[in-house]
Amino acid sequence: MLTCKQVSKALAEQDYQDMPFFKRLGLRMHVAICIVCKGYNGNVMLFQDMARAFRRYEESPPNKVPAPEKARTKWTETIKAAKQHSE
Amino acid sequence: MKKQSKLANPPTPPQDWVALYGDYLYRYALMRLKDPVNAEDAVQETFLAGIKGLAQFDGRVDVKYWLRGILRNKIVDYIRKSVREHPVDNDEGRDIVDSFSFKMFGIAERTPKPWQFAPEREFEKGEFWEAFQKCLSKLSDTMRQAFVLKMVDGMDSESVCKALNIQPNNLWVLNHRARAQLKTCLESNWDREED
Repeated sequence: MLTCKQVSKALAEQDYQDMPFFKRLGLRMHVAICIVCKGYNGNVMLFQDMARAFRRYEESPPNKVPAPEKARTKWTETIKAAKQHSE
Repeated sequence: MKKQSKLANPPTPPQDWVALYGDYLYRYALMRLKDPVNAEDAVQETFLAGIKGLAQFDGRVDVKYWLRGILRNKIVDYIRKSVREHPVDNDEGRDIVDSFSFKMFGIAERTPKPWQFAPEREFEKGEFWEAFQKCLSKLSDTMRQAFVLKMVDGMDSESVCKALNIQPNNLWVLNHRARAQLKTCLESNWDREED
């Protein structure tokens, strides 16, 4: 059986969804029934879910804010110059 | 170039990079560095490093993610530089680390206040993530960086500690505080009645 401290430590190190199956299972069972760390570690897991969902959102946000035109022009010129230089 | 055509993800020509990945990389950098000038420069350096390293591109991932990998290293460099100028106080949060709850159970408090709404129900809404990013930008720089590098980008603790020049306990305290402040901010800024 895992201790609260082991659960907290494991969650501080890694997203619970990335853990091996049995480790994740043991951890979830502990957090589901433990009166000491259920609230706290449950919230840590919720934030891991949130961070994961945010990564998905970041890949394709509905309102895509473009980079400033000035920056795009500068990048285009830099790439052109670098390409010419390397050829 | 014959060899490259067999790659799972063939490289795209650099002259197309701005159109294909410019906005994505810029948003990625801006969210992490907050400063538009630094974000712009980091993307510029990424493109240059990409052109230089294109011969080593192995096609295992899409060029987009290959460039993002380069950008992430650049971002960490920027963070390292800013930390050198404004070092983090490693004694901050000592009270939490010395507390009975932390020593015994590895937690900061036994009964944190429950959420006023269920965030997981809002994950599909774009507006929620806009509020989330707004709240994130209100955190102190180190707190934001600790949270983003560790939680969002999934970097291992050792690398995050090295980048921020902090102790592992300090990283824990920063993430604990980031979570608490994000929760408070989201609770007061996210209007559930919208739907």
